[in-house]
Order: sequence, then structure tokens, then C-alpha cells
Amino acid sequence: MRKVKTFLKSAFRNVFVRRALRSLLSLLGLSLVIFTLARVLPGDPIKAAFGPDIPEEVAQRYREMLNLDKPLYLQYFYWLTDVFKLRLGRSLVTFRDVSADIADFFPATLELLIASAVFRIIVAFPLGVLSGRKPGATMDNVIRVLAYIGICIPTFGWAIILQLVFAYWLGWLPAIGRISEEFRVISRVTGLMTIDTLISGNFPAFVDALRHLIIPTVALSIGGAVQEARILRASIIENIGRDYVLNMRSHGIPERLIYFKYVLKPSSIAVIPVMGLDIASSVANAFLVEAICNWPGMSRYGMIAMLRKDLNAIVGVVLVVGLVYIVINTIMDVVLYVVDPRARFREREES
Amino acid sequence: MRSMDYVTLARMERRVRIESLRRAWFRFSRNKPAVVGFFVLAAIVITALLAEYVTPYPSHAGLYINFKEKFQPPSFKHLFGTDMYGRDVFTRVIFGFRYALMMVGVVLGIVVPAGTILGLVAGYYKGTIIDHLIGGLSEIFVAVPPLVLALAICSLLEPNVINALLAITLMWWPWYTRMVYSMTSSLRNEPYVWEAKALGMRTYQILFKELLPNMLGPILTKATLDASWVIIIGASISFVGLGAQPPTPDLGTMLAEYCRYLPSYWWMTLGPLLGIIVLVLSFNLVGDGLRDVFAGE
Repeated sequence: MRKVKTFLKSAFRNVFVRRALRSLLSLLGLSLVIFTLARVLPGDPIKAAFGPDIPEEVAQRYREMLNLDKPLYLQYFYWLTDVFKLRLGRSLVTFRDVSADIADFFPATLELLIASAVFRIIVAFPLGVLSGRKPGATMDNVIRVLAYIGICIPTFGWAIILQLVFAYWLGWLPAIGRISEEFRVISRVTGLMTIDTLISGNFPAFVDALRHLIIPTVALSIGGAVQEARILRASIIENIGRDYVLNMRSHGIPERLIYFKYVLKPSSIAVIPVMGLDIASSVANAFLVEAICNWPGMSRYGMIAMLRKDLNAIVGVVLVVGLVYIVINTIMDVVLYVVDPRARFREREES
Repeated sequence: MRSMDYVTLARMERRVRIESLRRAWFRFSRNKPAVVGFFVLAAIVITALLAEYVTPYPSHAGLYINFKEKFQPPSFKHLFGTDMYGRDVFTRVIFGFRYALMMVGVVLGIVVPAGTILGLVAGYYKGTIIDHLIGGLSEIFVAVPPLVLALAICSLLEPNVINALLAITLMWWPWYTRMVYSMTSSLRNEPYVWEAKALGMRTYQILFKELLPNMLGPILTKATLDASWVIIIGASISFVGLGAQPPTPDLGTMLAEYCRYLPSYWWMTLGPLLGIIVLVLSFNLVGDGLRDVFAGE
């Protein structure tokens, strides 16, 4: 018992836990705002979902079922108690609980997010290292131009361009969907298609799932990745001019070792927060990419809910996105803590 | 005698201000991409304002049908080709600039002053109830990616341009508040603020005459860079169908409309896409130039 107590105490003193709790609190505030907006704004949700011709008594029954006839604070109270039971209320489109719907669709989005985070890392770091090594060289200029292109093409623009070039013109990759029709038999274990296909031992299906993953992943992360490469480059150039590098060179430490061991690590500190923010906000861009690539994920579900004015589903999706945002930010805080010794000092001073 | 001193002082102050502006422009003009961006942007603004007079087919902007000329590939007659109703895509893109620029103007025009004032007040009264109130409120809006919140708010309202503007404005101010807040809270203990207080200056004078001028550079830079984000988010909202509705020549709406004809009539999509890219690129170039100017100070 005492052990648990001390553990809890130390956990609450932990910066990450405190920050995550604070974010959860603001998420609660957000839920109040968005819930109220969803109820207060004009327009009858029942009529929006079923069309204006629905008989009045049926509409009334739906209103009772969804607690829409009660005062606002009671509605929020009922909804909040449901949330603590991990239920987000009934959807007006699918007639199921929103949390069940989201649980069905979320793994596809998660797969996309993980893939795009991995893609970001394997693109941003090598490009940054390449261009930081010889500033002003051809490679550096190419990456600079790429970075500008990356910034100014929005995510949905990338999705359209990639579909056009690689799916329609070259025919190398499938444009939409998650897996081809012939592999629909894959049983769902984790919900992540690439892992499920591996579990079932169906290698062609795995390759197929991977090929479907490429266009949405690249569309989601290419713009941010080149920008992060630029930040890494700037940071490398700044660090390589520092005195400690000169000192190492004068001691005859091999250039390669200096570069990859002693320069790259402090330089990556500048990139990690940006990358974290970008990965977190790709949850938002997934809304567009999933819509364009017909990716059956949570964001596409949210999109459909928004177009149909499905109140509970909209609130639910926004909150789950907020939760994902918090989780990613916390992970990034931890990563920064591991990489950057100064972050540890700062934390000690704070507490 | 005394009053004359003040007059000379004011004159000198003005001269210094003009001089520093001139220097800033000089530094900006050394940055070639930024200058190019600036002129492209100026050209876009002018053509967008005069869209009725400079475009080849002004009537094609809204509802117009001429099936004889539908799906024309790009040519000298129609630079970006024509769409499924036979409308000139180039003309519509120019009119689309108008909506994009209006969006930038309205959103930033509201958000930058409002966010700045809230940040100043919260930062100046750091640790008091005002600070916690504003801080907590801004944290709520930052808890979710801006685009998601904007989409959600738009979906709850009627889908049109005004509501899209409203949604973007509503979720954007906290970013300025947070930036100004952190700058204010680091500047509020500077000696000159104490001196101003000791001289008996009013709080609003300290906020706007002593503190604000030190932050104008970063705020202006952020506003320019944010302009491109406003364009992208605005286009995203109308792209998914929650913003401007079809006959409106909004870049995002056009993209969504033309997207459906993708593999066969691809050039239609390229027009609005190119429009967004050029606009965003020029805002980014100018923003980078401004950042370099203020970083040099």
C-alpha cells in the first residue's frame, strides 16, 4: 500500500504525468465547448439526419432516446457519465454507440499515423544529414527546393498529385482503399492490416496492404519531412561551427565519428519538438487524406459524421483526436527527455 | 522652450523610425526569393481585385453553362482548360484568389489584434486570475489540431464562406495569445517597464507603447507565415464540402468539384492546385524574408 502511495506521489511529481493531466483537463473543457456548440447552434439534428419529412412523433421519440429534450446541463451530465463508462453516445447514422464505431475505424488511422511517423523519420534525418554535411552543394540546393515545394503543396494536394502520377499514369500503386478485393478474407486480429496479414501468414496480402499504404502515407508526411530536414540542416550547421567540434578535430578524432556521434545528437534536439507537433497534427490532415484515398479510418468516419451532422459522432471524434494528440505529445516529451540532458536539468529546476 | 523640446524630440523620433524602416527594406531587398514572393503576391492581389476586368471570361466565375466547350484541354484560349460546364478554369482560379485573400484578410485582421491583446494582458498580469482564465481558455482551443476543430465547428453550422471564416477565426487566436504571452512574461520585468511604472504611466500605455513595439517583428512574421496556413485550412474546409458551396469559385471547392473527373480530365484539378501553391509559396517567401530581417536586428 505504501509502495503504491509513493509510486503515485512520484508519478504526480513527474513532469510528463502533470503535463498529460493538464492536457486532459483542457480536453474536458474542450468537450464542454464542443458539446454545447453542438446542441446550441441552430438546426434540428434529428431532421438533419433523417430528412425534413420525418413524422413528428418519431422525431420526438428519437429526441427522448438521445436526451435532446432535457436541459443542456443535464444532457452534458448524462453524456459525461457515459464517457466515464467509455461510451460516447449513439450515432444517428450507424445507430451504434460512437465508441464502438470509433474502435472499429481507429486501427486503420493508427496504422496510417505510425507509417507516416516512420516515413517522416527515415526521410527527414538522412536528407538533413546529407544537406548539412556540405552546405551549398548540389544536394543541399536540391533539398532546399524540395523543402519549398513541400511547404506549399497542402496535404490534399499531395494526395491528388500522387494518385494521379503513381496510380493513374504509371499504374504502380493502387489509388484508393486499404487492401485488394481478393484479400478481404484476412481475419481481424489487431486491426492493423499489415500486422494482420503477417499473422495470418499471407505474404502476398501483406505486400498488397503495404502497397495500399504508400500513397496516403507519403501524402501525409512528405511536406513536413522535407521541412524537418531543413531544420536539422540548420541545426547541424550551427553545431558544427561550435568550439567543441574544433577541439575534437584538433585531437584527431575522425570526421565521421564527430559528425554522426557528437554533432547529430545535439542537432536532432531542435527537430524533435517540431516533428512531434507535425506528427500530432497529421491526425488532422488524415481527415483529408483518408477522404481522398478512401481509407476506412476514423477520420473518414468523422468526415462522414460531419457532413451528416451526427452530433455524438462529431463530439466523439474530436475528443478521440484530442486524446491521440495528447498521447503523441507526451511520447515526444519523453523522447526529448531521453535525447536532451538539458531537459532533465530544466525539469529538476522546475519542480 | 520645453514644448519646443518635445517637438524636436518627436521629429527626431520620426526620423529614426523612417530610417529603421528604410534599413529593414534594404535588408529585405537583399533576399531575392523574398522580393520575388513580394511582387508575385502584389500581382496576385491586384489581379484578384480587378478580376472582372483582367480575366478573359468574367461571366464564367459563377453559374454559367456552355456544354459545347466542356472538358477542353489547356490551350491559349483557355490556359488551364475548361471544366464540366465549359467554364474557363483560369478565370475561376483568379476569382478564387479573391476568396482566399479575403479569408486571409478577415481571419488575420481579427485574430492578430485579439490574440495579441489577450496575450499582452495575460502576460502582464502573470500569476493572477486573469492570466489563469485566458491561459486556460487558450489551452482548450489548442488541445486539438486546428483543422479538426475548424471542421467540427463548420459542420455544426450551415456550410458557407462566412461560417468557415468564423470557425477559423475562433480556433486561431490562441496561437497568437500564447506567443505574445511568452514574450510579455519575459519582458515584463525589464527595467524600462519598471521605470515606466515609476513614472506613473497607465497600464494600457505600458502595454501598447512600451511592450508591444518590441514584439511587432515576430508578430508580423508569424502573421505572414500564418497567411499560408489560413489559405490551406480554408481550402481544406471547402474541399471537404463544409465551406463555400459549388457555384462559388473558391479554390478548395473547385478542387473538390474537379477531383471527381480525375484520371481523364486531370488538367482541371491542376488549375486550382497551382493557384493554391503559388499563393502559399509567395506568402512563405515573404514570411521567410521578414523573419530574416527581424532576426538581424
